[in-house]
Amino acid sequence: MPIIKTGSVSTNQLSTQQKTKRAVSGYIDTNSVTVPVCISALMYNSTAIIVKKIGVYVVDEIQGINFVLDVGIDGTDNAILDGEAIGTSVTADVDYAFDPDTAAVASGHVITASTKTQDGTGGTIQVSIEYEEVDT
Amino acid sequence: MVLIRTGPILSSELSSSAKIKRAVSQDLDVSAGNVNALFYTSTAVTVLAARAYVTKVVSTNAQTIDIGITGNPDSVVKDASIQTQATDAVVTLALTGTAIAADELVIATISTAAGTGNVIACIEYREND
Repeated sequence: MPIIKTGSVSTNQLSTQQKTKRAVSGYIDTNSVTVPVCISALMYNSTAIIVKKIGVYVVDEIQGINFVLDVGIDGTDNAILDGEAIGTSVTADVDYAFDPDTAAVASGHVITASTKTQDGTGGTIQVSIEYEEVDT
Repeated sequence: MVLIRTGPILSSELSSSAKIKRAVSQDLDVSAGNVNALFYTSTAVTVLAARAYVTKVVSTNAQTIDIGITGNPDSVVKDASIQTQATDAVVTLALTGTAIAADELVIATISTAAGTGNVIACIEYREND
């Protein structure tokens, strides 16, 4: 008997690599003198997603103390990553990988990354995420 | 008899969410008429949705934004208003066109530069195959 597929291929039918999607923020200034709080957007999602991993790329060395990062939705929100300490000072061009505190993001939001505690005197980062769609 | 698939899975065969791809611009200064690239596409794509995320409050002037391609910068979004928006607002941008041919660079442009504020352009799109 022939097996005929009539439905569309959903995310969970794709391979691990095929289902992975990625997004990256613009530059985020970690210098509290320049910008009290810096926010950047990674993407707008009309569909629900699951965040798998969060990476931080250091464009310019972070100088100062206690730089802490949030990742969430629609602004200075910490729904995905809450107050992740990046460190007091790091060498430029170093990346980090964090697991999300909460992975599920509902549809109709902009994913944002923002500086939470920003006592630095210099530095620039970009935040990147890997995610999957929520469908069956 | 078992039917064995030997060809690749096309975008049109994916679920609605699985076929979605996304891109954002860098931060655009509405006072300066900034232009920024979202991505280069070697393949034809269809734009599904566009939004502007406000990173810095946009003043009560007549700022507008375009999204399109180099040479035709308003082919996807034309003069969409982004004026008088609070920080963190997500502004829906009406699509005036959705088709982007292969070998184009998708760009966002502040088409009416005025007042103050900053936004990031976001789009969702899918491959045409």
